[in-house]
Amino acid sequence: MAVVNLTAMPITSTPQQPPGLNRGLVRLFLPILLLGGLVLSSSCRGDGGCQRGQLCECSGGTDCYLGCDGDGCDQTCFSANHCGAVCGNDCSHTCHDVNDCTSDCGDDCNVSCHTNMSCGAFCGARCVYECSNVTTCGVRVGPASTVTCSQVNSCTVECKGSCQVQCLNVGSCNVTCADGSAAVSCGGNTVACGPC
Amino acid sequence: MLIRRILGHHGPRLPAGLTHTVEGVLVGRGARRAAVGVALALVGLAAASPVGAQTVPRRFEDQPAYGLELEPHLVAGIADPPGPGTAQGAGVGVRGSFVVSRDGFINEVNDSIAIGFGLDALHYRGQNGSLYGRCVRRQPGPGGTSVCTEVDVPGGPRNYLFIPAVMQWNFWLRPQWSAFVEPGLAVFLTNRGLGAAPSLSVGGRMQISDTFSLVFRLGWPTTTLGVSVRL
Repeated sequence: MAVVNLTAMPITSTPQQPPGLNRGLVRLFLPILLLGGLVLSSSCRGDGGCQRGQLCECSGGTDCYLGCDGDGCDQTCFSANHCGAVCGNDCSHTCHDVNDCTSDCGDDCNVSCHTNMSCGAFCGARCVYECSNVTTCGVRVGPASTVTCSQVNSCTVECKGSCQVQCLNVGSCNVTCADGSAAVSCGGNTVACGPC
Repeated sequence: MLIRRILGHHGPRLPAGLTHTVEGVLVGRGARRAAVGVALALVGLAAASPVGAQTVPRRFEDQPAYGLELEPHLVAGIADPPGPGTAQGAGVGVRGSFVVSRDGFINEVNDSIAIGFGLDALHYRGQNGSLYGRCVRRQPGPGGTSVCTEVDVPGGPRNYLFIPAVMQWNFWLRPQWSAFVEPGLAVFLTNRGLGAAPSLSVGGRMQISDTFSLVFRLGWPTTTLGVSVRL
């Protein structure tokens, strides 16, 4: 008769092992989470219905205010009482035959405001702004920008860095440099903040 | 009565206060869709926790012991949000859930209660929006001009910041699986101002280690997928 010595047998508990860290799953999932987060959380400056690269046109009526869902919108407004465009970077805005037209744009924008009563703008770096056949033109631009006023009663430009302003047939051409220095004349109806 | 009808007379008996809470958050926009969702969830939970079932842990000792569950996640808005936004949205967020009781509302079920607070940032693309809208913010510009700096386009894209505050009712079904229902309130901030709306979610988590879980949450106004860390 076989006798089993129970005390001699090793007593081993078999607790439920906690599931180990599934490193493969984590390695797969976390980069996707981070990448998705970066893509989805990309900021959008504008808040309007115009999409990047889309030509958005508004005309007639009383108010035409165009937004942009981020950057790169091509916005046009004409034949209305009030026009305006808000956009991120790399946008273009054309505005004509309205009472007042304003632009609020980031960097690398191209704005043309002509044949209006007044034009106003906040424009970022490397802005190219043209104002013509307008009674009042008021523009604040970022560094490395170019502003052209022609056939304007009053052209007021505030430069937040280096800029060049050309005034052609302008009643009053006022250029203010952000650092407090006086704008220098570059000849040919052009003045500049910073080097010519 | 809605919850009683959903569960039927053989389902788990819920406290009257909770029943009213769940029913309360169903009132409002998207209520019918939310009601169907919570009905399915509760029916599923009721079916998964009958008296006498051997697969359901009954004691809170079987629950993972933690005080705070921290959960970064991707967020999707799969239906119109409350407020001025439209269509679907996506973004990122984080949720922190504090365990307030490891013994939930139903004695026969291994359930627990947590209170959750979060922050979710979403961008809704909008639909059928006009290309132009109205100017809602102006700033004085040079030369006496007044420059429009913000345009509000009806139906256009919008950014949302949600701050949800929820009661998380957890059901610890298996060692690696758990489910939860989250009725609560979501405060939201858009460029049009502040608002609040009821929120309701059902979700589940798959434990991938002692500390980490994958968490999925289906609900309104937001649906999430993330990784949670139990602390």
